[in-house]
Amino acid sequence: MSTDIQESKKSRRSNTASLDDVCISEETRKRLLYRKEKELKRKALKHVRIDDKELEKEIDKGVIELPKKRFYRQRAHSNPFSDHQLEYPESPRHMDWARFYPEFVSKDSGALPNDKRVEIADIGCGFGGLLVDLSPEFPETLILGMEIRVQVTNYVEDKIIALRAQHKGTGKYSNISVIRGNAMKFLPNFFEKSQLKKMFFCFPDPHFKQRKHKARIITNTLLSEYAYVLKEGGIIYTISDVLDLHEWMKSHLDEHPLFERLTELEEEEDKCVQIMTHSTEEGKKVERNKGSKFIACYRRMPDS
Amino acid sequence: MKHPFQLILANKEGTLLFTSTKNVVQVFSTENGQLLAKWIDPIDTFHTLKKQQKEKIQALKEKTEGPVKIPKIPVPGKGAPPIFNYIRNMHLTKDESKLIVTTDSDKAVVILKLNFDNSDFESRIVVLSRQAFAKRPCAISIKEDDSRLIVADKFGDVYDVSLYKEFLTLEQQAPKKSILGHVSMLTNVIFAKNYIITSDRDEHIRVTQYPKTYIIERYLFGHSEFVSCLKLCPWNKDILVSAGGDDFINIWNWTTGDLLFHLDLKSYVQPLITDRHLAPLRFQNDEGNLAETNVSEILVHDNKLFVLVECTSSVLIFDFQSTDNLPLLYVIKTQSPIVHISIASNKLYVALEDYETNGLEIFDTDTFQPILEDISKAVFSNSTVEIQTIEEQYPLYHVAPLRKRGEH
Repeated sequence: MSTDIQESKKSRRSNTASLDDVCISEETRKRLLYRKEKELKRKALKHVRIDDKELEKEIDKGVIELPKKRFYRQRAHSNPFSDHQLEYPESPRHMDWARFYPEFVSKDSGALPNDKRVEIADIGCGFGGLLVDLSPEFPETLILGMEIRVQVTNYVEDKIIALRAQHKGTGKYSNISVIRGNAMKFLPNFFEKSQLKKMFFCFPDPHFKQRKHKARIITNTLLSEYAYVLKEGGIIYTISDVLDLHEWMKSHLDEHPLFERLTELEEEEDKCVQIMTHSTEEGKKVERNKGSKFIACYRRMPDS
Repeated sequence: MKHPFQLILANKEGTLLFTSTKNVVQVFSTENGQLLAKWIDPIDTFHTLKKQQKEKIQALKEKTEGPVKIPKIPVPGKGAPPIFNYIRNMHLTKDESKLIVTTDSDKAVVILKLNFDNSDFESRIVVLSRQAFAKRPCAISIKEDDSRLIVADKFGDVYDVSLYKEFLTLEQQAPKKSILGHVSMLTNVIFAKNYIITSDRDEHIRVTQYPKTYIIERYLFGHSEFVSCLKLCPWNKDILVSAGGDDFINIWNWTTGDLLFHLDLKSYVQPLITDRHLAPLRFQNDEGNLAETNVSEILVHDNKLFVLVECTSSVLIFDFQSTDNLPLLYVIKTQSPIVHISIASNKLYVALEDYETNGLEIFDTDTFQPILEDISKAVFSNSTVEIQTIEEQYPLYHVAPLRKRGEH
């Protein structure tokens, strides 16, 4: 049995499914095979410049195909308090960003130019719709998605690889990347103080029960961490289809001394608000179901 | 047989030794070993359950008319983890008029008033206030002027409590709103000038402004396992010493964020490892020799750094004259494993895992030799906390379980 399958077995915490196993369903076998094949490609292509000549051979037409979401389904919730097996740098200085944005690596130094650092973060990026739509809007800005669910992160990685391969030579989609991580615990391990210009919180898990409220992504104590990684004038974007959660996020942001809400006009004219409203998978689902969307954006004020 | 001391704390003059054993605080004179005062936490382990039952009955009464069926207090089933009722932290205010302890029973911070001149033995320790928190307090720190108390809890929240007498009531409401928080269990907290330094199970050490606690000044990155100990250097309060599940100690200038020295403990700790340090079976390697050591206490005193590695029979002492290099000065060896250490006026107090006569030893911090053996023996023999069998003993070592085991 290959180690990849073993790993995927482990990650699904199930002892029943493997390719050698006779009693797995045809569907599971198909999904495991698909995941295995994608994983091999991902390993080869994740951290490289896709238009390199030597790689031409490896880029068969399969890579250009967008990944199929149904093979990456995963439970919609993840416990942010548990000790996941996460990879995160010891400190922002230990983070090798060049691996995530190979197109921007300068040929002379073999590293990213000093002024190239991640400036937009999508926290809980889900299936990555926002990343893909933000990419052409800010072609020179590095954008990072963070997602805690393994399979969903894999999907976004595969999608980015496919998009890069489809547009090879143009440099399109080379400014977006995704990391599996727990932003509630390890955000300061990735970003320096005042590094980010924008942070997005799109359709976060509502955690309805009162005793679960601490698991919400916007709390007054976490806002202090977001204020730490945001630069002065940086903006937090929030959107939700759950009114209760929207009111919660608004009240916490209103209360926090380092954030001030954008005026209605500013929110209306911000192109990111437009993109955020219409591009995420969750946003599209809400539209299909004719639900409402609630938006609130806040500016990081100077320390006083 | 005697229950070993779980926490010990000497006052600044070195005249008193505060000890905690199970749910009992005892104060001994270090001049003659006499028991000067004693306080027993009256709350039993079923306190929280009883409180919940009361609330349930209240809720039922409001909902239904007539007699209500009284809900049962749940009894833990076979194999349920035992509930321990011990005292987790013990701190003295600077003026030494109050002792502040945290309890596991009702997750409370208890402020005790001390008056050893009182002729009535029972009134020498009086409860000034008892504040129950929603989550277990893990660490506390007192502001230099004895005005505020900072409480860090298991859920990652930090609360600010007033220590002024006029604000204290016997059954006090704990503050509802936290002043700062981590999404991780907090392991230590320190008040330093106008800042609060917190450490957590996720390797973070965070410096936050006070009272503007919404402004995070910086993080001190350098640990790869949980951080359990934080200590400021008494002669230079800009210097912070931190340690935990790593096999090294970091020395920082926390005001600038610079790592001044990385003290590697590997070679010193290697000879101290016993079977009790082996990793749990599930996480053991194929050879079965993976040992995990954790620093459970560090003390900084008189240009020396005292390091206790959990469950070892040694105290490592390093020369701390400069932050450029900390050579090993001496290793104090004891007969049995050390539970806790405390230091005051050139005396190192060592609480040992011993059940008969040698539960306490005192060492001179200049010569590192044992001293005052008659007094240390007298103190331990005057301890009143007895157990019948070893099974009744409370767990003595708490640091090792902090280690993270990521599963998926």
